[in-house]
Amino acid sequence: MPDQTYLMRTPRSVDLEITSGCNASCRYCYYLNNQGVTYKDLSTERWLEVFAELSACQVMNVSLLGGEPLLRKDLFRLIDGIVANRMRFDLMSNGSLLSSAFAERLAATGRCDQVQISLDGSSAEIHETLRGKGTFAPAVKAIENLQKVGLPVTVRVTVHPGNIDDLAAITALLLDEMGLPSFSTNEASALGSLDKYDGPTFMTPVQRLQAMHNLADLDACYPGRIEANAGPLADWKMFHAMEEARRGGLPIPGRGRLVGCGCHSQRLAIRADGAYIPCVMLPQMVLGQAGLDSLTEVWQGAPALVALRERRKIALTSFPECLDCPWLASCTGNCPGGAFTLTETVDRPCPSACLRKFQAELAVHGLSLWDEHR
Amino acid sequence: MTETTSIIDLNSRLAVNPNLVLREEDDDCALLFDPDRGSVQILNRSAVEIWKRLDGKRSLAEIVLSLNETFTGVDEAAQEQVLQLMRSLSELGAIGVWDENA
Repeated sequence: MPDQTYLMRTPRSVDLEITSGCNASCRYCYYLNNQGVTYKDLSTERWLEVFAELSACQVMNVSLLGGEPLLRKDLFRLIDGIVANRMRFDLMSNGSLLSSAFAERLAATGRCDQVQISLDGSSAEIHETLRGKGTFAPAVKAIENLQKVGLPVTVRVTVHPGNIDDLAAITALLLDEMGLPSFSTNEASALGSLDKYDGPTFMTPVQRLQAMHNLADLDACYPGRIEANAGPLADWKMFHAMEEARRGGLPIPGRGRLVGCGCHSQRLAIRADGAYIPCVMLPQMVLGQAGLDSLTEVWQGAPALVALRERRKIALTSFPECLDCPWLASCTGNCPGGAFTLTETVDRPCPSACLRKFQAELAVHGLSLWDEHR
Repeated sequence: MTETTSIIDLNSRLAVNPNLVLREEDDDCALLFDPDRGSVQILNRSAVEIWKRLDGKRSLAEIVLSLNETFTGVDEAAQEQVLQLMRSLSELGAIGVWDENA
């Protein structure tokens, strides 16, 4: 496995945090309240200039994020700018403002790849536990509005202590009742709002194991229809692959180093204030300023980004916490954003995704990941 | 510009569809991205060089000749290969015949 990944001349996709405003107050928000981040929005004209530069760099897709993107009154002017600059787009929303008229207009652009709506429960009571009162019905209505106009809609379920026992009902609602082809899951990260630490946001190890069991069972019932790039289901699958590799004596190729994320070789992000950042999980790592610094130069030469890509060369054997770990050779070190939040550097493994640590936490309760759960 | 696949020959003066994006990711190949369809075609180096010469003014015969400036060993078989490429791209709506009277 080569040390360096292929680096394209410019990013194919760019995440755009088009507004820092939000009309929700989700307890686990990763976006707001990050120290050292400026929460200020670029004007319409500045974004249109950014789109022109993205087009000149042959960027193919942009993701419109926030905050809540639909709060921008000029949203369709921005979308028109994206279309005029020969790009496609997708959108992430809490659904609160996504009316049928909005969905129709979005579909009429012909360039929208998908819209992601957040839904954490099968009922208002559960969904609104951490997302706030009155957020469930509009989210469900938004999904229906998107379905009616034939736009691909994905739903993101953030797993937390309050919905672990509701996961089967959420799955039934989304896949059986609403007929979605799939949905995705994750869990709260340590980024952002600090008040998440005061309440029931993070799962205990025992709860996390229960969430893994529930999702693994559902994944077996609905093969290929529950997606996960992070969170309990992703960890469950990754940890079992690592254990299988350990038992077989054949490490997973290319691992044993900090190879946990390849995003930085394919995409970039721009904050609401125009700052270039490697990804939305690293909002403090400013690489330059859109409109002032060349996108191509930032992409190819920003020292912090170059260093982030070099992270892949760092062997896990260089970390004391990894020494003697039986899964070291198949470990990726996981997300650099998570590592930065928890350890103040990207050049370490992310502690929250450590298999050995998780197993030790479970052992305190007489449990193990490898226990039969069905 | 019209899109008439059947009449493409070495005298055709073809132009690219300006709505498409040629994305050169490295020295070996490029992606031809159609934002309306969301589709991507991979072009090799020689196809990229031809694409860049499709200005609606030069004939395909002139373009094949000009390839000698960039590549060695451009032979008669190259003409047929270029015609096949042009017909494929035309079917995708990526290029069209330049019609001065249109």
